[in-house]
Amino acid sequence: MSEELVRRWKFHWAWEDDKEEQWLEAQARAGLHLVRATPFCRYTFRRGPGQAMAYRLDYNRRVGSDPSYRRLFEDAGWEHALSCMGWEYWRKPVQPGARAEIFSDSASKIEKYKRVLGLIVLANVPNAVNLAVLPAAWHTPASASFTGGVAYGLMTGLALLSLYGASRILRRMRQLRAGVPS
Amino acid sequence: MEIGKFLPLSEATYYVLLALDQPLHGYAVMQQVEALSGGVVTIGPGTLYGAFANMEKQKLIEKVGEEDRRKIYALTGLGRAVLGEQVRRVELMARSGRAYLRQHEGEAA
Repeated sequence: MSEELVRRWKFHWAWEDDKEEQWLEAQARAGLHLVRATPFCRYTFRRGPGQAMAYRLDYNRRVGSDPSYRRLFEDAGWEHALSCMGWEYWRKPVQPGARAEIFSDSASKIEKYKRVLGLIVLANVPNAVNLAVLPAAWHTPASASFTGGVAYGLMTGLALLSLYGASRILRRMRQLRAGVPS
Repeated sequence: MEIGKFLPLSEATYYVLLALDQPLHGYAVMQQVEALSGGVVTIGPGTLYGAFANMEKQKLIEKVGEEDRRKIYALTGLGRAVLGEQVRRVELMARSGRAYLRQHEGEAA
């Protein structure tokens, strides 16, 4: 039997994990089952029969070195689809009438979003230092160049995007605390 | 160590501690929690993994073994004391609640 592999690009922001889950579930219904992904979100799927599959994403950079993490999920009937930059992709065939969830209460969902928030903050530490220092260096002729301007613009862009992402994640956390169903 | 700061326990935490009265690995805890709660409480693996980490940090449980990539946990003395205090408080709540309802049974009719 030959395996047909299909590659698809799909980009998701870190705060759109629920949309990514839904997209992967739609692919599974159409018979495309996730095999691997590159860090730049190029997914590889294996073509097979369409299946009602639940995909769930966890974010935890520490579990890579802890074999008991995967064992616990596998014992509970989840299949590890892939790991990508701290994201752990889990899937499980959907049983009629049963909700498949890796997080069973809002407190643990909030903790996951705290970890994602930590990533955004971490990614911006060098950025924040640069943004703080650059305007001071702006007055020296060497850095007041075109390249300096582009670099400053890119950093400002990343900072603004991160602020937007962080606000989206904080909103999700507030909704979870208030008991709004996800 | 002050016990009160751990209370009240969430429903999930309560049942996980209760299940760990005997040393168990994660999946056995999930099954035990479902049985102990009469099927009312089910715990997902992501939630349980985080709960283990938190409770271990709070010294309510401790790792007592590892088998086939499964970590086995059990209650610590502190965990047992916290669980006991939670049960005492819930019993008190249930007792006074029942007494209140009995007292006001006639009024509603």
